[in-house]
Amino acid sequence: MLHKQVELILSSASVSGGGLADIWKAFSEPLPKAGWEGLENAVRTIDGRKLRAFVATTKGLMSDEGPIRPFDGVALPGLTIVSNACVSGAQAVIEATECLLDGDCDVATIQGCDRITPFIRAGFAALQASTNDTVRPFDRRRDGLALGTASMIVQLRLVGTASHRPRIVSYGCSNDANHISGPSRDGSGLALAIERALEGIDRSEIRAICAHGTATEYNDAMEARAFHTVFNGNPPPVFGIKGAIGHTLGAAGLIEVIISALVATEGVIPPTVGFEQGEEDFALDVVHGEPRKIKPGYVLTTNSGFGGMNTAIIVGPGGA
Amino acid sequence: MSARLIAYGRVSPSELLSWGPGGALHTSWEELNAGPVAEYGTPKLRAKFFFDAPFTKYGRMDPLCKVAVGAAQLAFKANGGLTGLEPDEVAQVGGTMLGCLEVDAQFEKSRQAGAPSPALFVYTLPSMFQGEIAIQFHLRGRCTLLSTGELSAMTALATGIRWIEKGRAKHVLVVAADAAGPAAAELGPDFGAQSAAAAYLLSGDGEGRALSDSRFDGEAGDAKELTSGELSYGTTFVDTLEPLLLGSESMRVHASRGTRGVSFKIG
Repeated sequence: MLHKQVELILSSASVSGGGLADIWKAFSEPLPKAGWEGLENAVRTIDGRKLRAFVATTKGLMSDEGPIRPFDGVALPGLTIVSNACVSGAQAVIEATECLLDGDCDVATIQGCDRITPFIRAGFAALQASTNDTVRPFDRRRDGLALGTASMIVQLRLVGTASHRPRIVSYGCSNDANHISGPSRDGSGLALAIERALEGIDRSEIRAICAHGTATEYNDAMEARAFHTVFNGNPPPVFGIKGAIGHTLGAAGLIEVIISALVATEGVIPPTVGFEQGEEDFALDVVHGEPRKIKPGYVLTTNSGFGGMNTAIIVGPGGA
Repeated sequence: MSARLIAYGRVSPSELLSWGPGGALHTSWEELNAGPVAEYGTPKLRAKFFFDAPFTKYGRMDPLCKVAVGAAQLAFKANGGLTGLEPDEVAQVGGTMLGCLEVDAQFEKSRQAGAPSPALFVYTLPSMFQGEIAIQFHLRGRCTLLSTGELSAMTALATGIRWIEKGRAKHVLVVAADAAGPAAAELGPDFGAQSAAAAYLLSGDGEGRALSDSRFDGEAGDAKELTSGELSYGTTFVDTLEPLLLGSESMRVHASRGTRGVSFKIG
């Protein structure tokens, strides 16, 4: 558990389709104007402070026109690309948080972004991981993911006193060490990451879980097992946003941290689009249909990716 | 707590090198009868150069995974395997500049030919070499992959040192790697073929050079400024850092590109 206040500020969000706006309806906070303004613009708004910039992406080096020269034309302070498959966005939040805690910067700006190209679509189709139907996270009829293009820019700041803004409370990471493209079937790798994040925290304080929820058969089953393991068969309410906006790859973890921060602050869980009927084994309380009111508090958000990567981040409301 | 560099392994266009409590190695590709230089700047990498037992999956890996897993194996072998390490507590920091560029190009060719290959697609992420290393050595610690261009190796190593010092990990395997071949050549005349990787096994316990006090800024101060050696891309500075790690002199080393810089103390 962090002993310093790292607050979250959303600068910009742009997601293909209208899915993000649909989710955002559950909250009172206005959705920032959509736009593709670059990370450089976000950084330029902050003067006189020590800055670090992080870009979370899974496919940053390839464009439709072929390979792009890394770092061409980029003049960002201390730019670091974090590229850890589908946990990239969440991992960048962790790297930026540690950068602040260690005094390497006063403000960390993170852009999570990936553009869904024919290259990426063909790859997921070749793996038979995509659905031709509705994306149904945690539903018994789920049969694959849909991809979404997104960019989100977030600032993290270390503040001396409690602020009204949501904050990073804790985090944990692990590797499954099991399979290069599939999750560990028993969820033990993700459970290990969550346990690491929960160190020093009473697990009854977790009000909700924002799951990775790709709607693939194995991912969702793995997550359900991990949640049951960690929460002794009684996990808190679970929701996922990929049924609404698709799997946005490098942006996914960052978007989910921000949505979780809103849930933590406002005490409203958005419904899981696409979910209708859950599994009998390792059944979860998946919030669906309507938003659900909860007591504001800690929210856990999890991500898992190829290469066995797992992240668990706990966010909390401001003022604590 | 300082980090200790307990074992080291390196694969480069001319040689293989490692040192640690389990032994040391310094051999050229010629001594290994490894065959002619192939399209990624080294002889074709084969499992038998690194592993004592058959490892059939190695042949199916992409060029980046092959060179990175090879360097990690050299480091673990030099350590005497996982001796003194708890696999659940071994974290990984990776550094790369070009990432999976080469296998991206291979997959793209398969896509344009109308038969996108799932076997290639799984490697089209820069961090896949860390997944392969985790599987091979059963490492379940935290894992991150950082790219800061030619500072990638130094950034990854400085981050690993920081993790030990701050108690974020008990042990850290830092691997800086790049594999450049036909796809890199399309970037321009400066992008020559090269496969290289360095693996630094760090621990809060054990014997080895003490590494500490990582800083991520452009100010060199009184630090020794590292120059580029023969290695490039994400392994730039690996070869010029090496003799300083092997020596006994205490110093701060600094590497920079433009306004960006990384430094840490040795000894």
